Amino acid sequence: MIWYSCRFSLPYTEKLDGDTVCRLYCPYDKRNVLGQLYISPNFVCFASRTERLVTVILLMKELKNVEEYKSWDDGIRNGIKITLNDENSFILSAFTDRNTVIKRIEWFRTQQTARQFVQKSDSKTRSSSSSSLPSIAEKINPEPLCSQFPFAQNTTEKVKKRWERLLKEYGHGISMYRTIELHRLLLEGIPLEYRGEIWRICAGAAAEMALNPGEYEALLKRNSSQDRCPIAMEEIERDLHRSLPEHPAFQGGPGIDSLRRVLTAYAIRNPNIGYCQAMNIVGSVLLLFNNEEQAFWVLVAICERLLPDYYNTKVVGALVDQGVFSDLVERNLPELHSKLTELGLHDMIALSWFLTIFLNSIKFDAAVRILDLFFFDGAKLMFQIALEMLKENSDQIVSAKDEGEALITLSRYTERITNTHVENSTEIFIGNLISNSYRDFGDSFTNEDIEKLRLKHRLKVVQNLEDSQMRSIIKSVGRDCKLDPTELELLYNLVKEEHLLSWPSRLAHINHKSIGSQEERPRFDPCMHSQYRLDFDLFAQVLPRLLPWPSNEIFVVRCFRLLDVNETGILTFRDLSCLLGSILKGDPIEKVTLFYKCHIPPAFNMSDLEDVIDLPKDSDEPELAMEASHLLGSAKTSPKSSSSRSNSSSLIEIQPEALLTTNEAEIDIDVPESMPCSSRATEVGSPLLSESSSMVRLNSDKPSSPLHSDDFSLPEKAASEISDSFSLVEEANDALKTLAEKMQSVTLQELQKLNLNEKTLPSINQRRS
Amino acid sequence: MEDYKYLFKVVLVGNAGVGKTCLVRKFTQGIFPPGQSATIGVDFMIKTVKVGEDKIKLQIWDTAGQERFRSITQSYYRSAHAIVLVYDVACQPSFDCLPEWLGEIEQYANRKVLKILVGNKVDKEDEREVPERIGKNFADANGFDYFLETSALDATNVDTLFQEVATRLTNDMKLTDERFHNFKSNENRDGNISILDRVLERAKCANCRT
Repeated sequence: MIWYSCRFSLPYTEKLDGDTVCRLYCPYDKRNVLGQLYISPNFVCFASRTERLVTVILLMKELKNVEEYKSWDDGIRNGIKITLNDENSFILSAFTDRNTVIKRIEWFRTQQTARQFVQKSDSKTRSSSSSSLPSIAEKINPEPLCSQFPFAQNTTEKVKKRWERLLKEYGHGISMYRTIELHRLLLEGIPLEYRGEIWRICAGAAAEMALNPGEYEALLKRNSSQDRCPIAMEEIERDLHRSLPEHPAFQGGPGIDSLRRVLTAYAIRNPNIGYCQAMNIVGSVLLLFNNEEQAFWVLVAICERLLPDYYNTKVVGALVDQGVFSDLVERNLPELHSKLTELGLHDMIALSWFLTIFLNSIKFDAAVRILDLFFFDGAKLMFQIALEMLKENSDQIVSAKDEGEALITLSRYTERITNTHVENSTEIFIGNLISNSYRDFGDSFTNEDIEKLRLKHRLKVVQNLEDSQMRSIIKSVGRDCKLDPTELELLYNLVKEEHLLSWPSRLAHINHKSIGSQEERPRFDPCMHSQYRLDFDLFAQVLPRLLPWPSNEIFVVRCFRLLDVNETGILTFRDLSCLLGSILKGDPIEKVTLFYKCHIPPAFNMSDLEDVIDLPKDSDEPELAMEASHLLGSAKTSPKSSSSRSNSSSLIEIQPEALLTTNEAEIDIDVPESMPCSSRATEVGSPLLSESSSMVRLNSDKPSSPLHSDDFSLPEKAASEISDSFSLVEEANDALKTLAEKMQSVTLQELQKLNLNEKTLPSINQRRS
Repeated sequence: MEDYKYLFKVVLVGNAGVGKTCLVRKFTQGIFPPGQSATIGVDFMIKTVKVGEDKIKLQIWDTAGQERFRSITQSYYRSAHAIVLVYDVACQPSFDCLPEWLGEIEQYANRKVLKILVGNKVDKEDEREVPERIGKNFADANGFDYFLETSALDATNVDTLFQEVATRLTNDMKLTDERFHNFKSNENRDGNISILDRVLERAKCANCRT
């Protein structure tokens, strides 16, 4: 249904309910024009079958009455008369099923009335509660800035007269008959006093503002009540004086304050965009012709409909449109395209033109003439003007020796564009540029063509961005992780795949945690900017598949808690890869430390304690011990276990060996087969692992290795919390220690190995410290 | 202007608002614009300077500092002969971001690229947050070829900066040319050696510093 909101510049959320063929009576030429009527919850729209002949958009909430209509004089049968609150009326006829149409419109209208009632009571409570904060409403500038900073009229008296006549004949406000005549006059430029209104009507900002009364003020209140996006605020503040510095309204004072509020309100409305440079330039020009609230809604229309995704955190939309533009140049100016490609300019040449709708390359009083038509014609116009600008310079560009010459040619050209028409001057009159662009490219492509091309390029752009993001993440993570780049890439793709498979359930969550709303500027970490972060569900899906032994949820939960230091519920790719690096390729002490940490807070927390306490206390210890011995037994009887080793293989033998080896393959073979079955694996695995940590502690008791105590020391504040839970772990440890002592005679060899290992420890620890 | 011996691409990067555009404007047009709108995407300027008797054309690419434009500015690193990384001496955060920028350079730029660190806005001596020594140390520790403090407002070191860039690049280029000629006259030698040598030299230097 995006087509519907695009066609009539409606909010994206607007869903079409139905449409039907009918005729619209046009009072200005007394004809019944054939076309299509569209009905949706907030709008009734009509579009003539002949493109551009006439369009009408009515706001449901402004409908006063819908009734059957008949007039023999005008030859209208089977008609409907819609009357608005301002007493304007519209006559539609030649319906096939008039009653259904009336019923649907009536139904949506009553819905509206109900909603308005709720809104009113809402705003009442709002205004009563906001009495403590009256300052915001007072501060909001109710006038467009051009009323305080008057500048010369840009259109002739004749043109102004024509505009007056047009507004009289075709009506004004949202419900005006939008005809070819309007388009013709737009080409002449809009007089100052009508500019803001016509922009708002054409862009759909007027309708959206009418649908959301009080929203702007509410956003500003949200900002003052709690500082929501400090990064965006900081960026906005820095750019306020770098918006339209040549205009006196933006050198200080009220203009700057208005701009700050408009940009802030938008950043709060849409944290996915926040603030993007270029919005300040566009916003300042909007403020010249609109009051604050109006300018805000035009900005919303630009950011969310006219230039979709242009200003998001990767400026994806702007990149996409560079590809689209390159395609259009290739189609329409093939010679120029091959030259631009050769110079390497084809995919960047219009970037700043489009991001600012030409406002930063053409003098603003000339560039607003482009805006006049942009709001009416949409993105198509921008492409068309850019093509014309290239065409008019094509000789120089084609003969340029390097990209520098081509760019200088274009920037000299754009500097010469003005809004004053002087015969035989070197200056370029903007009116001519616009009409030439219609002559040369007006019919070459439509907005639908552009949408199709956008779709095609979007994939490419997103893929490129993802690739480069992956490369930088792998590079960054690779520094602190034991996995090599190839392994990291595989892991990255696995996470990405899992993430994409489960994205619908995750979407809301990610949006909620958008970058724009972070509390403070974090240390730079590309992982934080990645959309492929892991919540517990994803982590639990990925981790067990990568572990060299079967594991159940307890281990996964503990690992998750261990890594989720800030308790955000979200892990980064870095967390996952560092964990896997330690498990698969870490040195023994690193592995043991990891497993040990799984048994103390924060990995082991109060909920685990409750689980343990629930069990009868006295049966606890023997059960653990029994499991361990069961495991030992099975390890002994397992025929394949530790195949290359002697038959005296035991738990203690395998474990240090697995820890000693840096080759993950051996772990793969040895450990899982020593496990009795996967469902018991972690239960059994935990005491098993704490046992091995106690082994190391036996060794670390020696004063020669003081760093061990570091590894096992607990954060002070956690110490009291631990004392209870820790004793439980200790008990389990003790039980296993006795077991271990019994086995010691068998595994002397292995202990010697451990001693060997210990010699290498200091160096490892040095590296880690 | 049309005649030049060498053409070099210089890319300016650094946080938003550190004064990249003003530096370029001051150098190419001799003006310090009192109001300068934010750079969107990438801006482009040209100026010809003299190194000895040679005319050198500098293509200066002035990039947007805001983080979301990185994906665009990254594509300019590859063809750059020199990268000028700018921070604001009166703005500690702009200095703190330098490692991040270095990472970008490392990832996207040619390994032989000339790296210059510039602390701008020294006219704001009262508001200074980053002492010159700290900047110098950072430059030395991170393999920058040159460090300079400038002010686009009072023109301190602006010409020096770009003149130095041109001189160093010209000298490097001449050296390469010479070796190339030597190679031409002595066919037995491997043509890649000049580049290879330079890389090795650099690697050695980098090792010495760290």
